[in-house]
Amino acid sequence: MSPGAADDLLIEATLTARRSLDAEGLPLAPPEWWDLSAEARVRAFEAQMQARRIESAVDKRGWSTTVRAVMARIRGS
Amino acid sequence: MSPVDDLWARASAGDVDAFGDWMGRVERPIRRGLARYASLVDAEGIVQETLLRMWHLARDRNRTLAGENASLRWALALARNLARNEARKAKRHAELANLPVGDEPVLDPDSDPLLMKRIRECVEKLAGQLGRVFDLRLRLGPQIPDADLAQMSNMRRNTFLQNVTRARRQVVKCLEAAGVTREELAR
Repeated sequence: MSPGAADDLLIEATLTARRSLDAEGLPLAPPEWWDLSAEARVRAFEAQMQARRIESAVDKRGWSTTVRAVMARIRGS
Repeated sequence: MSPVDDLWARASAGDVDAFGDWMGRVERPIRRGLARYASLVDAEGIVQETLLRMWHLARDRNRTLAGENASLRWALALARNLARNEARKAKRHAELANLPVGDEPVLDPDSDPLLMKRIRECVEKLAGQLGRVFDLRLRLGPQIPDADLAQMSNMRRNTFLQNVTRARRQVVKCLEAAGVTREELAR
């Protein structure tokens, strides 16, 4: 796998809105995020902006997966 | 009263769906406000924690926010503070000191209906395996780990992620053919 393709895979793994929580209930960065260089983290951030736009467009209520993840926590608490 | 204020008022009165709509309006400005921290902290986690704390604030009868778009302004400041604290925890002091001071982010105008329509059309064009994995990630991704989504698709996790990436690229390519730029999508 080329370095670019490996980065793409790591970035995709960080694009999910699912976050594990630490002992205090705070969201943890996915392990793959820590493996990214500073430049790749900026690319991941831009990909996140793009991904959330697409998700909002296809959701009936206009909610991204981030909004749905938080709603699940609110409704589950 | 702005649409954001109206949604905030309804959320404060206990309307959970109104809070969801409020999040839908403020999520992008909050995330964009974290751009300068992108290499230091996981912005997704900061956005989610900010939104959750805003829900607790909305439900706090002893606190009220005054002024136009006050809830957004509060959330922007909260997100920045959380990002700075997170960066400090990770001992990234040197990088923090070099961060430029940014302008205050502004609210998005209402989503461009034509852009949203084009996005939907391009996502609908995803066929077969790519369509299935993309749909799975969108519907269940916020709650279910990728490893489990991969298993549901009879794939290894890496293969699943490769397919989601391919699907994403196909959607972006379709949008570019329709005249939508990557910058427009990420704005």
